[in-house]
Amino acid sequence: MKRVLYFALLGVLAVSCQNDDDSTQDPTPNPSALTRTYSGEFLNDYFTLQCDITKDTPGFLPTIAARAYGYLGIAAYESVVHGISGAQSLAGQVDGMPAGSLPIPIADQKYNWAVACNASSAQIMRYMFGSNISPENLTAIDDLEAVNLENLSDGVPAEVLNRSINFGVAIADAVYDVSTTDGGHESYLNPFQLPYEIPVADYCWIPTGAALQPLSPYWGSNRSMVSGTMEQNQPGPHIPFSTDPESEFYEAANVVYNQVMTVNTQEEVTITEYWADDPFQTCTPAGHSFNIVNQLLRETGASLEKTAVGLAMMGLAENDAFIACWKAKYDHMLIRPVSYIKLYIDPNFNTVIGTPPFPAYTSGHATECGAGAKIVSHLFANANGDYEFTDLSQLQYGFSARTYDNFYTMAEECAASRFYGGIHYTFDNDLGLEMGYGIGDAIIENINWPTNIQ
Amino acid sequence: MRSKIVLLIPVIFMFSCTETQEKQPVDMWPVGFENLVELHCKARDLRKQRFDLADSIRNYTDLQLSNQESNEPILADDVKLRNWNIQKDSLVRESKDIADSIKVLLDDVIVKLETDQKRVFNDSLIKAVSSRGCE
Repeated sequence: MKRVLYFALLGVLAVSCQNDDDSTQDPTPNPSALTRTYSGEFLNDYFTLQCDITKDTPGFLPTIAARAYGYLGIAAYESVVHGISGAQSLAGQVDGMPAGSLPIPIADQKYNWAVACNASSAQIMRYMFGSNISPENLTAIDDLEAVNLENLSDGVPAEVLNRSINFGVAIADAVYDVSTTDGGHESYLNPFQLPYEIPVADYCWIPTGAALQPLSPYWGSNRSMVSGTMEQNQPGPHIPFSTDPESEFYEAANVVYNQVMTVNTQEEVTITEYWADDPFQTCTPAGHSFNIVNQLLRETGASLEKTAVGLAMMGLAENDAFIACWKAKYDHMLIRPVSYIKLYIDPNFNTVIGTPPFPAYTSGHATECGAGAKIVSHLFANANGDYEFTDLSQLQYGFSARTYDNFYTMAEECAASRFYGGIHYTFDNDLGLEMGYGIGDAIIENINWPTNIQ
Repeated sequence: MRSKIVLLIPVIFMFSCTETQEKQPVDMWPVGFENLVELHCKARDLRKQRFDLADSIRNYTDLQLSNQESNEPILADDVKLRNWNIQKDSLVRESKDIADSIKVLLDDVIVKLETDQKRVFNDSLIKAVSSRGCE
C-alpha cells in the first residue's frame, strides 16, 4: 500500500511538473528562440530616443506625446508577442484593433524577435513623428536601428534576419493604420485643435499666459486604447463654483494662495520644479513616467519579454490617462487657481512655475502619475506594494535624485507638486489620482497580459 | 565588569556600523565620480538659468496679457522676447549636451548599483556637489 502511495505521489509530482513545463512552452509551433532569451536594453534605448525627439519636435505637447509613446509600446509588444509563452496579441483586445487585424508570423519559420522588434520600433517612431521630425532626429532613429541590427545579427542567418525585419515593419505598418483612426492622427500639426471657441462664464478657463487657446480641446473624443477607460473613470462634478468668500470653492483657491505665498518650503519648491518636467527641456510628464519604467526595467535586468510587456502597459496607461483627463478638463472647463486668485483674492498673485494652457479639473500630472504608478507597482512591487526606488532620471536635468519607498508615494508627490506650484486645487489632484489609479487597474485587468514574465 | 562589557558591545557595534555608512570611497562607484560631480554642477546651474528665463518670459507675457484688450497674438516681433528666445535656444542646446553626457555616465549606476547603494550614491553626489558650492 505504501509503495502504491509512493508511486502515486511520484505520478502526481510528475504531472504537476509537466504542467509547469507546458505553461512555459511556446504556444505557436515556431522554432524561434523565446523573446525572454534576448536582452531588452535596445528597446529601452528606443524609449530614451523617443524622449529626446519629443523635446525637439514641434507639436509634441503632453497629449500628443503620450499617444506616440502608446503606439511605440504597442508596436514593440506586437513584434515579440509570438515569442512569449502563453501571450495573446493585443489585436482583439485594444479598441480599433480587431482580432486578426495584425500580421502573424509564418508557422514553422524561424524569427529573431529582437530583430523584429528593432525594425518595428524604428518604423513606428518614424510614423509617429511624421512630417515634423527634423532630419537629424530621423538620422538618429536610422542610426539606432542600424547599430542595434549589427549587434543583434551575430550568427543569425540572412533569411531569418530578412524575415524578422519584414515582420517587424509589417507590424509597425498595421499599428500605424490603426492609429490613423483614433482621432489623434497627425495632431502635432494642429495641437490646439483650432478652431475652438472657448466657452465664456465665470467658472470657465481663461488664458493664463502667452497661449490664448487651450491645448487639445477635443482630445477627450479620441478613442481610448482599452475600452471604457475614459467613460468609467470620469471624476463627476467638482465642488460648486462660487466667488463668495464664505464658499467651499473660494476656500479651495485660498488654500492654494496661502500655500504659494506663505506655506511653501524650499523642499516643496524643489518638488514643484522636479515634477514640472522643466521649462524647455521636457519630454512631457508621460516621458518622465517612461524614463522611470525604463530605469526600473534596466536595473532589474529585464529581458526583452518583460521590457516589451512593461512598456506596452505603460503606453496604454499613459495614452488612456490623457484621453480620460482631457475629457474631464473640457467637460468641466474649470478656471485655474491663478486666474481665480488674481480675479477674486489678490491681483498680484504669481505661481511658482508657469500654468500650462488648459483647464484645471482634473490634474494631468496626477492622472498620468496615478496610472503609471499602478503599472510599475504591478510590474515591480512586492506583495505589500513596496519597492524602494531612486528616480535618477532627472539628474541629467540638474536635479538631485529622489528616493521613494513605493510608487504610490511617488504618485502622491507628483500630484502634490502641482498644488505646491499653484497650478492646481487640491481636489484636481485628489480626483486626478483616483482617475489614474482606475485607469491603471483597467489596463492591467482588462487586457490578457502574459504572466510569469522575466 | 561583565555587565559593562555587555553594555559596551552594542556601542562599539553601533560605531562600527556608522563608520561603514559614512565612508564611501569615491572609486567604489562604477562611474568617473569627479567627472559626474562636475557635469552635475553645470547641469544645476543650467537648470537655474532655464527656470529664471522661463520666469522672465512668463512675467513679461503676463504683463502684456493684462494690458491687452484684443485677442491678438502676443507681439511676435517683440525684441525682448526675440532675444530671450535666442538665449533659450542656446540654453537648450547646452543643457542637452550636458544631459547626454550625464546619461552615459549614469548607465552603469542604473545597472550595477543596488537600490540602497543608489541612495548612498545620490547622497554622496549631493554632498560633493554642495561642497563645491553648486546650488
